[in-house]
Amino acid sequence: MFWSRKPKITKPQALAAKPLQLAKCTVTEAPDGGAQLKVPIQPSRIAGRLFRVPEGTTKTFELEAIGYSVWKQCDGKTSVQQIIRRLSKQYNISLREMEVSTVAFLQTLVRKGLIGMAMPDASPDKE
Amino acid sequence: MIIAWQGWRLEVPDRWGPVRVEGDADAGYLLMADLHRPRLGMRWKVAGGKRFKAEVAVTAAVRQEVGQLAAQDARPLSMDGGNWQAPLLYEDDEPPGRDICVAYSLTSGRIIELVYHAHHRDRVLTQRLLPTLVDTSRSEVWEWSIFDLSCRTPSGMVMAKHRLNAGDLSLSFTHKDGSAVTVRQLAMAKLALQRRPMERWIAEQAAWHGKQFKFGSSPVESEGEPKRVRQQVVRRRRYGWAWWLAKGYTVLARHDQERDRLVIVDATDEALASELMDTVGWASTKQTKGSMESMDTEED
Repeated sequence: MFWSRKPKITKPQALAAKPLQLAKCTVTEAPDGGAQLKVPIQPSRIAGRLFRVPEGTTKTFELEAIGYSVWKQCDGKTSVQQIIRRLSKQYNISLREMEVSTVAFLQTLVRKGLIGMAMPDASPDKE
Repeated sequence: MIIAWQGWRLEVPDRWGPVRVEGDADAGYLLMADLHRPRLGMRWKVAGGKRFKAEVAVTAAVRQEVGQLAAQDARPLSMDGGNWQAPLLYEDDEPPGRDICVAYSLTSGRIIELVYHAHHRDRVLTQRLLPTLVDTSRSEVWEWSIFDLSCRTPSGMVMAKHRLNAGDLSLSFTHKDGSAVTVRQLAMAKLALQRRPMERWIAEQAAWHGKQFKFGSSPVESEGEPKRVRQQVVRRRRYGWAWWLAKGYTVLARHDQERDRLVIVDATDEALASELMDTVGWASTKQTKGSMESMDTEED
């Protein structure tokens, strides 16, 4: 095979995954509870030569209060499920609503390269 | 948690939430799930006719759900607290599987089917869920409760559309006489109001009606408790010929401090908007805990 298929992940496995901060960033907390994350840009070898990205270039991500609290919980120890339950309790929102919004937010963070997911080697039925 | 939808009402554990909602009052399907798996499916369908027999229709519904062989194991059930006819119960011998209860409601003339996804052998369907099932006829006031948005609509109003986004829920209803009402509820109202003042939320709601409408006056805050902001939206003069459009709308907005929700109601009639606003949150104030909490711990 010339290509490799993405491994299939079940929903319980995805919920048991533990998000972990990948980027080493400087955090500036805002008075409203949010924060600014400054992440250094590391261009690939070709992009670095082509565009001559200067050293010390950073990219800033602005998170509002809830987003920042999710970011803080991405410590590699707390599972997605735990984050959802905590937020649901804290903001008095149903689990389903919180699940949808938290998962979407975590997916955005993964896409931006800010976090990674540590997958547990769990059986599908394990809760 | 109470789920009330299209005339029926059911009490389910707080951890369960709707993940799929389809259909209207005549026929539809609602699936509830927790974080891990589907838990309960509700199916309803209007049944009737000259040669209609509840027993035959109920048996056919069971057969369709579990197949011919398994349907033979279904047994009659006695259901209290309702006007039910020919209820049948099928319980899977070897869970994980599905437990099914089908009954014909004389109140609304619909066949109502509950499909409980049993993970292990328990009596959740018969002992916890079925006793809380209530069906209402179209001539009564209908209760609505989904996620944490709940309201009561006057008789004769039907759901026109629903938008159930996480943290932003809205239900729209219409009546044959042309009146219409929309209820919108935003979670984390404090945050929402920090970003955008109440007036701008109202303006956004008013914009849903399209360019044919404009603000009639500046928003007025009521003096009594709970405080509400009222805004009139009127049809533009150049659309005076558009007879099918409402003459105007009244938008009412309230910050429910206790639940931290921003509730916006807009209706063709101010009395209707006010009446509906009073009923928003009925399911949250009602004491629904106790039995359902114990059910949660029992299962997980």
